[in-house]
Amino acid sequence: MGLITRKSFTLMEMIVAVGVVGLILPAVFGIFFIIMRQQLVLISYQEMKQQGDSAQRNIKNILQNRAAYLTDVGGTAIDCPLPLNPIPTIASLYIKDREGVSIHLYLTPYPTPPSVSANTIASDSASKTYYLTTHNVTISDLGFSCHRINEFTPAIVSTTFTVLKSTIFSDISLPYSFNVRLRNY
Amino acid sequence: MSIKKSFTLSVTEGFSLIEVLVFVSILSLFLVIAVSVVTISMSQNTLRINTLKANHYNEQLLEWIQIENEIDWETITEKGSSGDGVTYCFTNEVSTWPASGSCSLYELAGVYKRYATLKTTGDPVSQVEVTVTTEWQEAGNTHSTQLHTVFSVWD
Repeated sequence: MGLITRKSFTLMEMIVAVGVVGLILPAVFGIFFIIMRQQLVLISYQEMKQQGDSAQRNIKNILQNRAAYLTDVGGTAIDCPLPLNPIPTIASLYIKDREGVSIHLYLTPYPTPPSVSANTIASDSASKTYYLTTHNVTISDLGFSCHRINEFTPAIVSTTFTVLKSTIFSDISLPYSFNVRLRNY
Repeated sequence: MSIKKSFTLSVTEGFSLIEVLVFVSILSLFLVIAVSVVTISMSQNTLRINTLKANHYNEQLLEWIQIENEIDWETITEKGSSGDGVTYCFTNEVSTWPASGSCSLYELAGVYKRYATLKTTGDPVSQVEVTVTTEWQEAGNTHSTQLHTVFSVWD
């Protein structure tokens, strides 16, 4: 009389086990992927807000504390019109302070690293260039316009720009729009 | 002559009911915990993203009202009133004062309702209390963020 005891798994058991693992693993990785994606979007928004706020603060400081009047490229003073006849929005702004030092605010590709194609807001003053954002975000639609409430009031400069960031999943943006009254006018 | 009979006893060991129940219970527990962790984590992340954007919209509006105040104190005082104050609904673009009234739709970026309430104090007005609120709906709940400031005639 022979006694045969089979201790191994049957094919059916193996198929069921592999099937269960095959269901659980994609679910776990899918969940991980979704959470990662949302975290990345959140971190991107935090960075965009931080850099956008910083750029806004810097532009406000430059315009409020230094700008005496707006000029064209050649350095000739521009008269900001009354609100009924606003000047068209311009992509870069030339201003002069009380000492006649020219400051230029404009959009330019971020210099380093050259492989990163990010635009930043630059401020040129006395042959020095300051970049108001880093290559981690890119700036688009930078625009300036100015007007006055009446002939005797300081010019009000309106600034708009959009902070963009590309993540591996999607592109996200945060718009900025603010007015600054020139105190040095 | 002898006849030899050969018997083969095959023993196939399957899982008992208890074993199957324990396995299914552990698997279900794991799945329930995983799903709840994901749901909570996702809703927290969405809430943080929406709060960040709502704060940004609030700051942008308050910034604009601050400049309006710097330009003309009289306009700000005329826009407010004593008591509950006057509410203005600001949608996407902030360039002029809208007609007074509360927001009816979540029009700002298709998700948010943004409004400012201006309350005045004194006669003649010496202070204007400004409260900027951005509201949005998420998972059936209404969330909001607020910024509050006071403008004074002495500013």
